[in-house]
Amino acid sequence: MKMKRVRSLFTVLSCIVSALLVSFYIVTLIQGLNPHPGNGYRQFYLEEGLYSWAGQNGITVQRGKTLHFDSQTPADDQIVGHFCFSEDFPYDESSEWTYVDGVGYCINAWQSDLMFELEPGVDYEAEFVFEPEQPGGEVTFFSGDEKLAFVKLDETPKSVVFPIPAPQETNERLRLVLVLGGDVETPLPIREVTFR
Amino acid sequence: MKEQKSAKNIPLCLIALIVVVASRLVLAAVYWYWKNETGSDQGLFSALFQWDCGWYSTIVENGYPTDDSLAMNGQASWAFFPLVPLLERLVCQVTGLPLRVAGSLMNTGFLFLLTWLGAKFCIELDGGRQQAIIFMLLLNFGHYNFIYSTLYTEACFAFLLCAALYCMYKKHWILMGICGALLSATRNLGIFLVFVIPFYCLQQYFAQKETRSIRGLFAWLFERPALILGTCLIPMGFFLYMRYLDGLVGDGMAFLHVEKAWGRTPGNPLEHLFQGLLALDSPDFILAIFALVALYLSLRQIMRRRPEGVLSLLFVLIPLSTSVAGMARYTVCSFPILMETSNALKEKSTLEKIMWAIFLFILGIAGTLKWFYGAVVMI
Repeated sequence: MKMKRVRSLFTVLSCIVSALLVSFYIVTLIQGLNPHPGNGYRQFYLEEGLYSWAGQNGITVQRGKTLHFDSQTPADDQIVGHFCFSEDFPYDESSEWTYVDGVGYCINAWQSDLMFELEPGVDYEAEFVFEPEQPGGEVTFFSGDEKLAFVKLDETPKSVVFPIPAPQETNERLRLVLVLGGDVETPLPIREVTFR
Repeated sequence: MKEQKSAKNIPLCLIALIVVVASRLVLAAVYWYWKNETGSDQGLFSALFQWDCGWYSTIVENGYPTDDSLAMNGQASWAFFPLVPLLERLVCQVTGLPLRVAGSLMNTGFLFLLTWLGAKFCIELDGGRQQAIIFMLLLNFGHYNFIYSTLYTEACFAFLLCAALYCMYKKHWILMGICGALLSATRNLGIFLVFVIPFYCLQQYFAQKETRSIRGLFAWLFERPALILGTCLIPMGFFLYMRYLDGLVGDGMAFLHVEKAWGRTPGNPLEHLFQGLLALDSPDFILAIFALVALYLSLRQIMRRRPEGVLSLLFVLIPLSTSVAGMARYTVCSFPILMETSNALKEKSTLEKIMWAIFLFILGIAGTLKWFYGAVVMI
């Protein structure tokens, strides 16, 4: 009789503990399926938008700060952390961007992508300075389907300034697509870019 | 007859100890050959310290990183589950030994436990004493036997899996749950032990009851509350680690998402297998062959109506879904596949057994040498 009571008590306890464990697993799983990491993490690991880990705020644009193309290590003042992952161009030395010793990162394909995170509700102006060895060719800037600017590389260096519409949502990212045209020579060096 | 009887009287534990000591002496001999060949001044424990050992070492020494201290390639130690690094840290603190030594000795201890319990499993629950002897030799002298003396999780994982399956068959279900919880804190694949339980239940139910129904099955199950609780305990380690990662980086699945930094993204495992088999001039071909043999053994195990066959199959298909990289290690060091291999070898004639023994022993030595040389195919 006593044995039977112990057994039923064990059955009830087992069922309660099992139910609690399963609830814990379900809650953890739901939390796991809805991650809430920082922006840098989200862009690199979850959305797979970036090639290299540039840090938690690696692609956030600071107004007035110039980004250079001369280092292979991501830093606040370097462009390398802004390179986008593109399935059409597997990341190697012959892909969208290539590093040339003594020059820095150059465009190496007809299309290359950069990603920036801008402050929502604020208008920006971007300035790119191209430094081709020989004048010639042209570059068009797109954001999504929208054409933002067009520049003829008729001199070297050649700078282009164009407005960027204000992002409306928090953490909205700007994927800037640079498309080469004409008789432009690749790799095409860029000296710097500044957002104002 | 008398001799056979006296051999049977030697405690299994002692046989396991002799086999493990002998195999580690062979490992030391291979190291000595490699050292003389290359003129390296590395000690044995440093020579064993290759590839992912570095990751385990950083977890032991510094814990897991937050996302503000990562390398440019985005690789992070979140992919490596915490139980083995925790135990390695504990052994270091208790013994005062350097990590490489403490970790190697700890995992060799697990190798001994696995050899002993695995042999016991064979004798009591599978093919008998002959399979047990083959299992012990295969584990200790076969391909990748050195991995059980590195900082890797293979020794602990295989031992815990063996213990969990043993407890399941012996109806020690709470103990099975505890071993399973530790297993799922060792590697992400550990959680898949849960999938063995339904097959085990069905097998047991069909064996016991003459009238069979879904209702009857549930009634049978609820008569065994320890089995329900034990099963629910298995994913505990996995979900606790998820909880920890969620607090650390805000992503409980970071262990999975970080694989992106190694260029691994989930896909069709059979496609990866097919591509590997076509790459005749690359190491991928050899790795794909390992995966193919493991698939055959998994299906053989399922055909023998062994519930752990499900696990064998999952242990091949899940890693294969990202690429063939590492398939040799994943398959050779998988406990259920080792069991099935020893069962298959048991069926062979004496001559075939000798041929296989020689082949696998040579493979074991060649693999160890390749590991010391840091060959990529051994990752």
